[in-house]
Amino acid sequence: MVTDTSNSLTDEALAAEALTDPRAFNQLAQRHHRRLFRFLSRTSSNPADVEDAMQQAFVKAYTKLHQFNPKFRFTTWLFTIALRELRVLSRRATTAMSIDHAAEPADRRPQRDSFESVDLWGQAKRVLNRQQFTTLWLRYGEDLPPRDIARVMRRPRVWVSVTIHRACAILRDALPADDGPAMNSQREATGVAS
Amino acid sequence: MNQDRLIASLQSQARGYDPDPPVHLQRGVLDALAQVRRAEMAPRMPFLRVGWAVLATAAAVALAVLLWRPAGPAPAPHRDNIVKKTTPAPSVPNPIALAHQFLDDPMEGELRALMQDLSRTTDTVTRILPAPKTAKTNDKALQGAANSRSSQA
Repeated sequence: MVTDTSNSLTDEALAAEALTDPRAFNQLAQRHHRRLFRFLSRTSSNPADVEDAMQQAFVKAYTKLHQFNPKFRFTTWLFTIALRELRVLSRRATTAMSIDHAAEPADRRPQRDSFESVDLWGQAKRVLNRQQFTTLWLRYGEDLPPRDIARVMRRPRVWVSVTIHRACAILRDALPADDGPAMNSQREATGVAS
Repeated sequence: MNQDRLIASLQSQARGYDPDPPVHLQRGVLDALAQVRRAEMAPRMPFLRVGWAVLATAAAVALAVLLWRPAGPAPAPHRDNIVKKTTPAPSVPNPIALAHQFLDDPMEGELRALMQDLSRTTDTVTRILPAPKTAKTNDKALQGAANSRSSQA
């Protein structure tokens, strides 16, 4: 029975309760609705895909609730399902996505001078591939531990560490250097940073 | 470029990213969940429907058979309709005489026949067997026997 005390329950306890009481899952959906939307809208640029993936993720999480392992966080499990749904939807729209990518500007280097004023995540989306960006967002946007990221991405934990390190390196190279515009122009001339 | 600075900037910018989900989205999610729950309950309904349909069909067939079944053998008449037909009793003034009419005649006939048989048997027996001896002979025999006894004495 879902009562006012269910607000104080953890996600995992609420998920266990939802096995017998469907209203408990509604509580979970309301609790993570905004966070999942944030994650999906950051990962995908197609709002329709985000909405579809979100709805599918909640439905699938409800129907497969008995498979949920309380050893992991509920959000980890939910993100795993949502990401898979988003991939399925993105595969269907591969052609449209490739057209979008083709329309992107060839020069991925930000035009701003200062490092802090740059839209880092926007830049990351441009220079990183999808897996790198998702991993980076899960780590620094959602504050998930590498163990949970590995579960979401269905990869080994070592892969997560390496991917984060590599994504940071790529992003750092794509950003304006601290040593000033002169160094940047020199790099461009030698073709080091591209 | 400092790695820590980059990570800190990434984290701070991520915290600032908090788009409002569309209003219809949450309602859509809850509607989808309710639809799934209804679908979970739905598989029972076809069985119920089929069950009711089978029952209704069986009842209709049974009713039709009862109402329009072919006519069988004529039913036995009810006992109340049976008319008892009584034959009039013979008007005999003396029933005992009537009884003698059927009972005595055969016995008399048999007796007559029996007497005839017995007379015939008597004739047959007397004809075959010799007639019995007279009393004189017997006296002589008795006298001869007495004589022999006295002589011996």
